[in-house]
Amino acid sequence: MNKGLLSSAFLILGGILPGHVIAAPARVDEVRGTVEIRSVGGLKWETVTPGQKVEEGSSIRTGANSQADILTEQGHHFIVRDETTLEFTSLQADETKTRLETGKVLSKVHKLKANERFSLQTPTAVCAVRGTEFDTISGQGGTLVAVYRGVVGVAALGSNNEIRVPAGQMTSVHNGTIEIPHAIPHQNHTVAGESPLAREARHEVGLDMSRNAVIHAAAVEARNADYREGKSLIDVNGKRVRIEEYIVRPAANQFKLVALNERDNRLDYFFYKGTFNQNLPADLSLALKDLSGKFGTTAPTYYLTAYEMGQSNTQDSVHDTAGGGHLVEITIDSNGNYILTDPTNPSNTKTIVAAQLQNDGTYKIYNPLADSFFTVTAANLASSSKFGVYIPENDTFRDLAPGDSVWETRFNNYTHDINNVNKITYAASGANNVLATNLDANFTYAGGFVIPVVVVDPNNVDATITNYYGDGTFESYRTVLIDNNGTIAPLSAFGSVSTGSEYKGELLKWNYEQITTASEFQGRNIDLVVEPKIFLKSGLIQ
Amino acid sequence: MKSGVWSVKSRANILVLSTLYTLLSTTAQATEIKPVINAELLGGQNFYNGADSSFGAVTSLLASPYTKFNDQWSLVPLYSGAYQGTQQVKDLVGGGTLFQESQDHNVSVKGIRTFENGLRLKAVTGYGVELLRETKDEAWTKGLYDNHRLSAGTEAEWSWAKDQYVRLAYDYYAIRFPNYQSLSSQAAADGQGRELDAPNVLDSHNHMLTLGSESRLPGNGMLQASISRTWTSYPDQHLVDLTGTLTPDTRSDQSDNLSIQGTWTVYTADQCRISGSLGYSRIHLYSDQNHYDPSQPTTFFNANYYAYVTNSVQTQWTFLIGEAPWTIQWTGSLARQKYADRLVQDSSGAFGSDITRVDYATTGLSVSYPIAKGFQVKATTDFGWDDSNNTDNLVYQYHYNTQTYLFGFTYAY
Repeated sequence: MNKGLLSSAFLILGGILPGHVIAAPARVDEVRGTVEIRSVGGLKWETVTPGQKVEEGSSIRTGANSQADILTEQGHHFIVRDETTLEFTSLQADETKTRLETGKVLSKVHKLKANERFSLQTPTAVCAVRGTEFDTISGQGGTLVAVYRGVVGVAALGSNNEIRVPAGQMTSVHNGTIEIPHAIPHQNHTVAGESPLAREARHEVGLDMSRNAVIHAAAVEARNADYREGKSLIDVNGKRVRIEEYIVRPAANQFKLVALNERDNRLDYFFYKGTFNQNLPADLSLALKDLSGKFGTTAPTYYLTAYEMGQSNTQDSVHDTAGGGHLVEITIDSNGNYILTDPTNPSNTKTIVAAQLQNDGTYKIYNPLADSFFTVTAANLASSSKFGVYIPENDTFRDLAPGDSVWETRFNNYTHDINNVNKITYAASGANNVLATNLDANFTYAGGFVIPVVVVDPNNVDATITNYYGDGTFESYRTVLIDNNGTIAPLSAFGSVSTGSEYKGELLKWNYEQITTASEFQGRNIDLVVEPKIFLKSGLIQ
Repeated sequence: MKSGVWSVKSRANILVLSTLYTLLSTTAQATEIKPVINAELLGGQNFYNGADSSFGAVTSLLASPYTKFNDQWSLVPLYSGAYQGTQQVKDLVGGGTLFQESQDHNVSVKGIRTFENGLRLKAVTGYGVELLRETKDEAWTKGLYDNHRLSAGTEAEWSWAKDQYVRLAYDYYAIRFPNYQSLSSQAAADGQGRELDAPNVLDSHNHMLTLGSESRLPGNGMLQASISRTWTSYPDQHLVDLTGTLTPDTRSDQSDNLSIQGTWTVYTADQCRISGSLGYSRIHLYSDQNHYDPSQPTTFFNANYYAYVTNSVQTQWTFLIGEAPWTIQWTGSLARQKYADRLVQDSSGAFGSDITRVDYATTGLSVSYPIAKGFQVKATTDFGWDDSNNTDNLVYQYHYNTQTYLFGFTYAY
């Protein structure tokens, strides 16, 4: 009975007595580095472990690069930063009071009850708060307070003049004077509470990273400059191919154009060496602009007298030579036929019908620019009879028409070799210069004849021409147009093309890849990616 | 006698060891180490002109045990590395669509002597390597544009207040592309070379002088500014002349850089802070190298081909919202690169009379939220546009847009 009454009395007392008579210890939530505690009245500092209780009157001390998180029963959270000594002078239910001797502490104050107080004192200032989050730094220079949430009242120690510091503001207390609050200058919360060592580290690492970035950027720029010059792209097989093109001048009247490809540690090259009728100027473009033919009635100043052309994978080769080069003037009469004349011997002239009807209803067409004959059906006659001549002045092509004149170079002799084995040879059949090669020269082929077979992809610009020779050998040229990622041009890209000049104009927008194989190559190939202009210029594309 | 000698030596050794131990102990007691760690693990996709790439990872790590021996001496060892499994908007480059994967690694060490008057003298050396897999068949370390960077430098910095300093730095760095040799030098054996051909045409030696500062601005702002000049020489890259042939002289460049950026906290309130920055930079590259294009029938020679000026402006806005807080960051930049004499080319590659300019624009938005101490979950999206008056897109794309979406985690300590 008495025991029950006594228990009831305690319960009643507990309900009516003020809360501050009941001390509520805090506890250590997290520890990093060296953190020690000194119990109330004690002299000895002992290492703290997470979960350890912090009684009223105890002090927490942190070492360099150390930190302790302390939670109170009321839900207040103290982040005691490095090299800090903080004393928990009061941990009552209605009053939390701490004293920051030196160092930094971030206080996150839980919502205070009506009669609850929270304050933090330093040797120079007192901070009284209500539901807030703030950093306090105490040292020889005074006290610095930065408020992130809520409001903190800051007063110099021993003074009644309190200044309210709102969120986002900071102030300092030095020699009894409180600075007027001002905005926190840094971008994020952590910097304000950063130690000098951390700030130093951040600064120096930042400088090093900037320095590394500048050096790295210089390397990236060198790479990008190379890309921008088009020296590297992807071929039709998905392999990276590097391209270099340059010229050399073996003699005063010669130039040599070299196109190099490298992929998979293999080197392929194409070269074209031209010998001209006179010494070449410094600006080679003056001589080369008329290489594939000159439009107009005036003869070109520079023309070829011989050339040598080759392609190789450094093991196999295709090699062409031509000599006896001379000019031929071609005029188109009112019927559209071609009149070919040797300007050095005007009596050497002949007229070639542009399109001659054959017995089978097809037409035999003469291409005066390529100096070749081919056969087309009546349906394709119109589109196949237009030939675009290059106009270098405006970098365009013009379809030949009646009344036009164009100057072309013809050669009196020619050889075509595969791996140094002769496949095709021709030579002028008489004393006069050749006007139309197929009419004025005698041809010989390996084994006595050649049969060309053409296979065309119906959807893409991908064609293969194979020459089968009478001696049982063959040579094959697969030609594809690709973009810089190796994707083959669809035929639809040429859908709107109706003339030779439009065809060549579209052609120049793509890269030209030619893969050459031959019996003599024994399974190997020569794989060249070049800009089409090189082939147009050298006459490989007409 | 022998015993006596041993005894003397032994005592001497003990004395030396004791002294060393004392010194080391003293040093050890005074040494403070502040680790700086930043790590990022993101995954996402890049879109190029609307076409998506495969999903790839983007990771980076920065680690530095900043070591302060005492008030006079500090050491900054640093490693930073990055791996990219997908291209990013920041890699704006038309020809870079070849990209498959890349990794970059840097190590450096810096010694610092600090004086009481705020002066800090520093010496630094570093090494960096970038490895690229740009085609599907390219193996690591075999990338055509793999590059190695060796550097050394010295710096004097004077700080008169917290986060306020001025510094003068000199750096030398050499860039080497070990897998890149000019094809013409390789073709010499087949009779296709030319006089003065040398293999390592991209390799360079660089000397950089930098003057930089950070100081306070009115309105609680910070100003960062720097100017620098870099002299670059390419020992294997001979100048090409009007006739298309190489001359005995080799290429020399000079790059002047100016960078200035102001940062302000523009708004603070309970659970919301906004800061913004505005920056301007200018790069002026002078180069004596010319260009000779043998594939063009009209204009072969382009003098002063590489020189350009790039002006760019950048802005960044950071919003810290909420208690944790959420970090929302928006960035934007505009840049124009104008070549000094590089002529434009049309869609067929023919040269025009206008001078080439290339415009870049980027914008990005990132959102991050802390999920544990030091860890944040992060999502970013970036957009980039490239435009030019050059319409030759045969081997390099001058007109494109690109987007990157990444999501992942970051860690900072």
